[in-house]
Amino acid sequence: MLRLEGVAASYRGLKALQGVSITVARGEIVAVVGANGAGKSTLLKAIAGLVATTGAIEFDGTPIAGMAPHRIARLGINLVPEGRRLFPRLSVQDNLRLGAYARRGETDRMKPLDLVFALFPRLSERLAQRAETLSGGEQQMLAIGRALMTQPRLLMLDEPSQGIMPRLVDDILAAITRIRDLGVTILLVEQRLAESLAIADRAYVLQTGRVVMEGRAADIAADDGVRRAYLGM
Amino acid sequence: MDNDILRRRRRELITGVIVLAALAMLPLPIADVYTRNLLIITLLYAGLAQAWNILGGYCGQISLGHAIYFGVGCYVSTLLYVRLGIPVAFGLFAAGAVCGALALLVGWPCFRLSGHYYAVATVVVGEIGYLLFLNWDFVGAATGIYVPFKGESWLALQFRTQKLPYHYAMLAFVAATWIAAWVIEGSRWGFSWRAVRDDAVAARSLGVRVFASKMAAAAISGFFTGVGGALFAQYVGYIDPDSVLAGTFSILIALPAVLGGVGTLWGPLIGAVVLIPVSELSRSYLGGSGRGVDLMIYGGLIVLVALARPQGLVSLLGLRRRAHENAA
Repeated sequence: MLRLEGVAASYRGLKALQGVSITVARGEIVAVVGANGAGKSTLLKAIAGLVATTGAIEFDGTPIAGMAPHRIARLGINLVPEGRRLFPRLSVQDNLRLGAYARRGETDRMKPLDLVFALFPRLSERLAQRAETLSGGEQQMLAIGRALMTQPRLLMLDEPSQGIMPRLVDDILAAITRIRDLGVTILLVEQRLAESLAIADRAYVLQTGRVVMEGRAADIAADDGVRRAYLGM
Repeated sequence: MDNDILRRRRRELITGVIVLAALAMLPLPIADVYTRNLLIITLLYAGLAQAWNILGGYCGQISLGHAIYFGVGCYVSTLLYVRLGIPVAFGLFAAGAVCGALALLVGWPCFRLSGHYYAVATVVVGEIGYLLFLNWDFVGAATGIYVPFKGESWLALQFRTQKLPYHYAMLAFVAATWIAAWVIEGSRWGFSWRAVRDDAVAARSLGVRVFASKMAAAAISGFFTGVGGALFAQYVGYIDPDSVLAGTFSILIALPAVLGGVGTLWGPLIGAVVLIPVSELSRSYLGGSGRGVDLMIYGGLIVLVALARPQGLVSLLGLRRRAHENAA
C-alpha cells in the first residue's frame, strides 16, 4: 500500500534521511525504531508531505512525493504528530470535528465518532472540555481519535507513548491493535522498543537516517545484537 | 453533539437580533449631539474590531497594519464620489473589494512569516501605506480630500445636521460584520481557521490548507475594514493620511477585540462599548491638561483587564453561564 524508494531528506544541509526504502502492506502494523535523531519522525513527516524529499513515495500506486500536505491527507494518510499537537483552546468535540472536516462534503463524516468513543470512552465524558485541560494520556487518545475521524487508510503515529503514565501506555498500544483489526494500516514510530515490537508485524531499524535492519518484529526483538548496536540498550 | 451546537448557535443568533434591535432604539431618546456622535464612533469601532477579529481572532494572525485597509477604504469611496460622482452606497463595495484584494496582496508575502514576525511585517506595511498616501498628489497628498456636500441623500450618506442616519449606517456595518463572524464560526472554514490559529502543523496534517485559510481570512477582514473606512469618510467629510492611515489606527482597531475577547462573537462589540466611551470621556474631561492623564487611565484600564481577565471581558459572561450550567 505504501512504498518508499531511495527517499532522502535534509534540514539545511544536515542529512536526516538517506536512501530509505520501506514498504507497508495493507493491514500491517509496521514499527520504525531507532535511537534519538535516527530520522524516525522525519520519515513520517516526509510521507505526510511536511518536509521536502527526493526519491519516490507511492501510496496505492499514486506517486505522492512533492504533493501538498492537504492532498496527501485527503488520500487517506493521517499523521498523529509527535507531542500530539492538539488544538489546545478548542473543545474535545471541536478537535474531533476538525478531523471529520478533512473529509470534504461527506454527509456521514461524523460516523467514526462511535468508533472513537468505543476505543476511548473517556473522551465521550469530556466533550465540552478544552483540549488543553486533558491529561497527557487523554490528549493522546484525543489525537488518535481526531486522526480516526478523517477515516484514514494509513495511520502514522509518532511516539504515542511519549509523556504518558505507564498504565495508559498499554491502553494506547491495545487501542492501536484494535484500530488495525478494523482495517486501518499502521506505521508506528516508538522509543519504547519492547512494547512497540510486541504489537508490530514487521519493523525497520533506523540509524542516522538509513535503514540498517528490517524484518519480522519478533526477530528484531529477539536479536540482542540489534539492541546493543543500534538502540544503545 | 451536533444538536448542542445548533442550539447554541440559534441562541446566539436570537441574542444578536435582540442586541441589534436595542442598538437601533438606543439613540432615539438621546437628543444630545455629542452622545449621538459617541454612539456612532463606538459602533464604527465595534464593526472594525469585528473585522479585525475575523483575521486576528479566528485565524490567529495578529495584524498591526489594519489602518491601511481602513485608510484605503476611505480613499477609494471618497475618490469615486469626488471624481466620478459615484455615491457611497456603491462606493463602499468598491472600497471593500479593493481592500480585500489589497489584503491578499499584503498576505502573499507576509503569511510566509508566522507569529511575531507576521505582526511586525504588518506594522511595516501600514507605515508604507501611510507614507505613500502622504506623498501622492493624485489623492491630495498631505492636504487630504474634502467630501463636497451635494444635498441630503441616503445613497451618498450625506446629511447636514442629522446624526441618526449615520447611526443606522454604522449599525448596519456592525450587523454585517457580526453576521459574517457568526457564519464563519459555524462553518467548516471557521474550524479550519481556528485549527490554523492553535497549531498550524497539526492543521496541515489534517488536510487544512494553511496558507489559503490565512488568505481567505485576510481578504474578508480587509473587505469589511475597507467598508468601515468608506462609511467613516462620509461621516467626517474630510480625510487625510494623518486622520485615517496613521499607525495608531491599527492599534485602535485591534484594541476593542483584544479587550473584549479575541476570537469570540461578542468580544469586539463589548470591547468597543467599554473602550471607546472611556477613551472619549476621559479625553474630554481629563485631556487637554497636557499631562496625558486620559491616556494613563486608558492604558491602566487595558492593563487591568489583561491582568484580571486575559481572555477578555466576554469571559465574564462565560463565568455566569458556566455556573448556570453546572447548577442545572
